[in-house]
Amino acid sequence: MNARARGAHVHRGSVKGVGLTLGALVLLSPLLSPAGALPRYRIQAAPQLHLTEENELWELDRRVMPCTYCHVNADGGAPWNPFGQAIQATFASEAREGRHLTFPQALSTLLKADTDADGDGYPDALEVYAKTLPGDPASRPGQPLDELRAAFAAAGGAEQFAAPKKKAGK
Amino acid sequence: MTNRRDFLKLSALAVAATSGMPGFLARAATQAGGPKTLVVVQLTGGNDGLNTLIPYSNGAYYAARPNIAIPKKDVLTVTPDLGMHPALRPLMKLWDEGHLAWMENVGYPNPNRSHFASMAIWHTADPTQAEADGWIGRIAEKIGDPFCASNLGAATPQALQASEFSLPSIDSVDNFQLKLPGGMNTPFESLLNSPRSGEAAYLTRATRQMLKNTARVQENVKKYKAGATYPDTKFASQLRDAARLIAAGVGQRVIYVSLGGFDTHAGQRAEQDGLLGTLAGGLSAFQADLERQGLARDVIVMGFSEFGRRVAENGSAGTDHGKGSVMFAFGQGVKGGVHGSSPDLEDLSEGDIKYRQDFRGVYAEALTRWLNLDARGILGGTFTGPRWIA
Repeated sequence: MNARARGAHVHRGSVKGVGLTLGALVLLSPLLSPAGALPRYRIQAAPQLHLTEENELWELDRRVMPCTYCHVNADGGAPWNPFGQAIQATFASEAREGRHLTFPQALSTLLKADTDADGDGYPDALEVYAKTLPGDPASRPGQPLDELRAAFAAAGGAEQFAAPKKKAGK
Repeated sequence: MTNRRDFLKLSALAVAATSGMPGFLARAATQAGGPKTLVVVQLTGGNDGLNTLIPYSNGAYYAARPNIAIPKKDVLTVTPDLGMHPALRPLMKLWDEGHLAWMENVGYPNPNRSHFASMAIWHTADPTQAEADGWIGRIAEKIGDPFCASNLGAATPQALQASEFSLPSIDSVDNFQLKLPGGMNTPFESLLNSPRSGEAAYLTRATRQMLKNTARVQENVKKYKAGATYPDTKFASQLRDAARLIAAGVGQRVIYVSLGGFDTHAGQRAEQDGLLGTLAGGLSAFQADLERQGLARDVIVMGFSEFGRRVAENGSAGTDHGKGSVMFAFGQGVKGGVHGSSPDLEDLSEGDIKYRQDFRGVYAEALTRWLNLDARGILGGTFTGPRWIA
């Protein structure tokens, strides 16, 4: 039963009560928008990086992709950590060449480059695959590099993080 | 005795009592309303005005944006100094016909770079942020009709909130019919058949009238046949619904639609280029539809965003939150052209353009000269702006 139906059921004996309850829902509706949801870039990135699997409420769960994936601070904003800076640099370098990328495209381009933003010895794409933080050298996979690289390749390599195809405005 | 405010409140509650059905459908064409409609387009996220109406003759523009500026060769020239983004080509017909207006350098005092705060300022038409009601909500109060405006989308924007009620939001016109939860039909009918007095009796009568009118209006909506092919986007679908409502003659004075995604901190060209294409494709289809149905004379469109972007690009081939921006309007009732002077890109305020036209002056023109309403009463002051209504 949805919220509206519940309101109608509880107050079905009173026309005014129904009106007040549903009227209040109408007034509250802007407050019920997903204000607590992940910000836009993470809404795009989390499914692209396969961080959302088996979590139906991932859009409301900031642990799925914490701010520190790309930012220094847990609350986001400037400054960006080495992985965040690498994404920014990807946008800029591609634009200088006349290639204007969307955020998912920039992310995919960076991961295909096989670079290691935080210098912990594990390339960014492998850290994404292993679900560690590619911008934090203290967060790195427990698996040996060669073993992880082989598993990553068997899973599809960097192609598994390709930008999804979408139509503008949809 | 029921006064006007009580009437508005009761009417809104009566609509809510019928399962939250959009009020205007229930109201049908029975309330007083002028023939003219204003369609407001919200570009959510902060549309970059400088890459929308491009100062292509200005070297400072290209110096500030080495990677994301629109090349001079690509702009759609409208004046010796300004050109439209190439993705806006579908709107060039309107420009050539003299029915597309650009309002340059629009903003408000003490600009706020927060999405939430700035959007609230545009919605309430109050830069002091003291006002809670929306300017369109106040239109509904002024007209005395809580169903004279609607939002096409999921949640009602603050612009459509009045002090005593919220104007309706419509996800899809096709879904507007009485659909009670399972097992609720009989209790609902019993509820309507129960003898009542006072306010409850009023609500019962209002509900029955709304059900009757709803059926009639739904028939009108179903008769609509699009006069143009709309692009396959959600935004265009909203505009098609707007055209259906206008064609159905349900007395809508203001219809509100939104297109989001303009917060282009990174990779601006890829994002904004596509969004402007979506915008122009939907709007041109909407205008063509209205023209073929003989409705274009009575409808104008006005577009805004909560702020523009900073003049200089950032390190992510994007732009950050800025201050003033451009507004646009079109329709046969619009005086085409560029209204106002372009920003001086070498005289900035903290890296942002200095606005020269208050957005409330742009609103005032629509209120006074299109909707024939008391702009001072609705906006809480006298604001002069560009004369963009023909």
